[in-house]
Amino acid sequence: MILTINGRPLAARPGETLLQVARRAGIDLPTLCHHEGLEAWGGCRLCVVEMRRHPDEAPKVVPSCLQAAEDGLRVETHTENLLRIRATLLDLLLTRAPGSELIRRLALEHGVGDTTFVPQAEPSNCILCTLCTRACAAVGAFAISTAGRGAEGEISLPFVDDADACVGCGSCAAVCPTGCIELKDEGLARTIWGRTFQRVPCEVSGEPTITREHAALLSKRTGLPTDGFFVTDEGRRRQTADTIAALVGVGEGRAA
Amino acid sequence: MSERIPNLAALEAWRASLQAAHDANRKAIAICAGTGCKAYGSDKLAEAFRKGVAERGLDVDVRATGCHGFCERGPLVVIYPSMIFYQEVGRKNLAKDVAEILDQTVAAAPGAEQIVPRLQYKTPAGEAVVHERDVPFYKHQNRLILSFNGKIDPESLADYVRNGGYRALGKALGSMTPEQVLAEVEASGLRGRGGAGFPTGRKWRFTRTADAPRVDGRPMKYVVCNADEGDPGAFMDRSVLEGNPHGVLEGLLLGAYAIGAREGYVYVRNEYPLAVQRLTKAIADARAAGLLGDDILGTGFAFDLHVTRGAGAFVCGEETALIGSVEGNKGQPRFRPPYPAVSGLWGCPTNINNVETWVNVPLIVDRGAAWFAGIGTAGSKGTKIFSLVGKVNHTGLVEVPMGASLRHIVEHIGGGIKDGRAFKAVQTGGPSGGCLPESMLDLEVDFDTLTAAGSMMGSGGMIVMDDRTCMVDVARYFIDFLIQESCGKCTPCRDGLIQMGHLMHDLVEGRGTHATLDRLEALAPVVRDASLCALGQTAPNPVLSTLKYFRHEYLAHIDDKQCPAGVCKALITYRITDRCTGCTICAVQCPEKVITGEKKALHLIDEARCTRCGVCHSVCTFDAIDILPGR
Repeated sequence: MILTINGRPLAARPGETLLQVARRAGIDLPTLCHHEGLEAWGGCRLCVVEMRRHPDEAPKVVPSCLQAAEDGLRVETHTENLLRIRATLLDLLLTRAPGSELIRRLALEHGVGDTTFVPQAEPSNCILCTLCTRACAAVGAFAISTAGRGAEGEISLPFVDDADACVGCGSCAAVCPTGCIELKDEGLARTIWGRTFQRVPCEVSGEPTITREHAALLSKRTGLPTDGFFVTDEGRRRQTADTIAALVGVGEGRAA
Repeated sequence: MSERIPNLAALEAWRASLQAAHDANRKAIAICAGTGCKAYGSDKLAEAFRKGVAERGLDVDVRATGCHGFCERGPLVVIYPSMIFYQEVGRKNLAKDVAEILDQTVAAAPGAEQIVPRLQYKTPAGEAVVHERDVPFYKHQNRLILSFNGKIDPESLADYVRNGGYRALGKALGSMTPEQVLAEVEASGLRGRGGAGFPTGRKWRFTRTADAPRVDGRPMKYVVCNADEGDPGAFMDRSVLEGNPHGVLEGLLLGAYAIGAREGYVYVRNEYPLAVQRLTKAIADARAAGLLGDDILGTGFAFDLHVTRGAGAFVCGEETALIGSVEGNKGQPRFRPPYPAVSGLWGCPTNINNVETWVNVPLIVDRGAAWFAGIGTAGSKGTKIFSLVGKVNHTGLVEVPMGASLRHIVEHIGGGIKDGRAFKAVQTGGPSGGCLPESMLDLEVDFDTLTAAGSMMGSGGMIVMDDRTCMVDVARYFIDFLIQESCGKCTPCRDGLIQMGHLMHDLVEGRGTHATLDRLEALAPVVRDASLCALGQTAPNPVLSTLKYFRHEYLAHIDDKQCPAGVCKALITYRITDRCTGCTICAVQCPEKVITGEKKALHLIDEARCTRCGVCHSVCTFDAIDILPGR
C-alpha cells in the first residue's frame, strides 16, 4: 500500500503503524512511552500526527504509534497545530519531570525552556509512561504496576513495599525514559525497589551475571537449566575458544 | 410460576392466566421503593400499609414499585385504580398518614374516595391536585419507558409478564429471524442513550458481521449493558435498573439474538446496591423460568447473563475501559480501532449499549419500528429520560419525546425556578457537557441540536442553574471533578486538566488576569484534540461553553474583581443592611468574631477581617445581609 507523509509517497506493509512508516523514511517523531519490543501504549501523545482519508475532510489527530497504515492515507507530522500540541505536552511533562535530560532536550527543541505551567511540588520525574510496568510484565515478573488514578498515580510495588515478585533484572530501569527508577550495582550486589539481590559471578570470568531469582524465572519460562544463565558474554567467548581449542587440539586453552 | 416455561405458547398461556386473574378495578396501593423514597423510609411505610390493610380486612394489593421519578416529594404513594397521588407520605407522621389514607381513600369505593388534603400535591399557585396524571410534573411527560416503574413490582417476574413483558422476546424467537430483529432496530432510528448517540442498529450490525474466535467450537460474541452511570446529578439508569430490571434483560436477550451473542454482562457500579440486588434477582428468576440459559423458551436459543460490579470510576463508562474492568484489568481506555464490535471482551466481538438503550429495544420489537420512529425528531427518535435537578421547583426523572424544548422541561415539567429566582443556565450532558443560556431555552432537545449548541446530550443529566450560580465556579467544579476522574494514562488529560484546574482556581480566587484566559483558551484545544478517549476530549467543554455564553462573568472576575452571582468568596463582600433588627445571632455565630453591634441595633461586619464563610448570611432570619459582588 502507498500512503503519503508530508506529501511524500511511501510504501507500507499491512499491519505497520504510521510511526514505523515515518521512522523508516527518516521522519523524526518524538516518543516517550514507546518501545519496539513492547505493545504500543499511546499515552505520551508526542507522536501524534494529522491524518485524512479524503483530501477534503478535516484532519484528525491520532497517535502514530497506534494508527495502522492505510492505503491512500494523507499524513502530516509537523503542522503548526502538531508542533503546538507537542510543545504544550512537553511543557506539561516538565511539571512532573524537570530532572529528565531527555524531556528537557525535547522541550528545548520545541521552544520550551522551563515549564510555563505550575510545577509539581515534589516532582518524581516519573511521567507515568508505564514502560517499566509493561517491561516487567513482558519479563514475566509482574512485580510493579500503576497504583492510584490520574495525576495521583504512581508506579508501585504491591502494597507499596512488597518486592517479593521482583527478580532484580533491571528491565524497568533500562527502559525508563527519564531515568527515575533507582538501580544500584555494587560488586555482586544489586539494589532496586528497596530490595538487594546478589548477582551470581560468572563461572568463567568472575564478573557479575544475573540474579538467581532472574535466572529461576527465565528457567521457568524457557525450560532451560539455570546454570546456563550464569556466564557473561566475555565468559561465553572464552568458553567457546576453549572448546574449539580442545576440539582442534592446539594451543593451551585459556590463552590470553 | 417458578418452574421453567417450556415454550412460547406456555409463556402466552401464563400471561393470559395472570391477566385473567388480575382485577383492574381492584384497589392497589403503589408505594415507590426507589432509592430516593427508600431513603425517606418507604420500606417502613409499605410495611405500615400492609399491616393497616390486614387489620382492616381490606382487599387491597399493597405493592412496592420502582422509582416514580418525582423524588424530591417522596415517599410517593399512588392509589389505584383512580391513581390518586399522595406525596411526602409518612415523612412527619407515618401512622397518621397511613391510617387516614386507608380510612378515607382506600376503604371507599372507586369514585367515592375522600382525599387527605395535607398529603396532596399543590401547584406553585396553590392549587391542590388529586390524580397523578394531573400533576404538572407528570402531565407534561411522555412516559414510555418509565411507565413500568410506577406500575410493576420490580422483584416480580409475573408482574412484568402480566404487563406485556417478554412478549417482544416471544415475538422475535417465534416469528422473526435475527436479521429481521436487527432490521427492526435499524429502521427504528434508535440511537445510543449513553452519550454519543451512535445509531444502535448500525453498532449491532458491526458486531453481528464481525469474525469471532470460536469457543467450544462455536463463535463467541458478547453483549454488554453499560450501567456505569457516573455523571454528577444523574440517576436515569439507576432508576430503570431498580424499577424495571426485566426490561433491561429482555433488551439484552433481543440484542443477543439479533447479534448472535452467547453471553452478556451488566457492568453496574457498586454504589447502586438496590439496582444490583434487583438485577441479580431478575437474572435468577429469568434463569429459573427458562428465559436465560440454554434452549430459551424451547426455541434452541441460548444466552446467559452475568453481573460485574464496578468500583465507581467515572472513566469505566468509556467502553474500552469498561471492557478492561470486566476482564479484571485496570479500567483504562485504549485506542480504537479495533472497536469492541471487532475485538472487545477477551478479544471477542462485543456490543456495548447503555441501560436506557437496551430498555427501549423490547418496546421497538413489540410495537414496531414505525411506531418508535413516529416519536421524536428527524434525527433522534423515541423518548429520552432526563434527570432534572438543580434550582427548579420540581426535580426528578423526566421522560419526554426527543425534540421537547428546554423551556418545556424546565418550566412546564420542572415548574420553573425555585424561590422565584431568575433562570441563568441549564447544564446538559454531564461533566463533559456544556451550559446553555436563557437564549437557548427554546432549543428542541435532541442529539444534534445540543451538540450544535456546544453542549451534548450525554446520558441525560440536566442541571438547572439560577442567577445565584457563578458560571466560572461551575466550570471550575467540573474541571475539578474530571481531574479526580482522569485515569492518568495520557498526558493531555492527566496533566493538562491539572493545569486547567490551576487556571480556574486563579479565576475564582481572584488572581485571574487576561493572561489566565489566554492560557485556558490555548490549553483547552490541546486537551480536546490530543487526549486518548472521550473523557479527555470532552473535558474542556464546561470551560469552553461557559466562555462562549458567559464570557462577561469571566471578565467580571478579572477586570472588576467581582463575582456577579455572589459565589466566589474572594470576590464578594457581606454587608449588613438596615433590615437588621439587632438580634445578634450573626455576631454570636461568626467564627471570626468580626461582627459587632448592640442588641436591637444595626450590626456591622469588619469587612477587612471577614473570611466570607457565609455563616452570618445563612443564620440571619431577617434576610438582612446582602452579598455584594466585589471586595
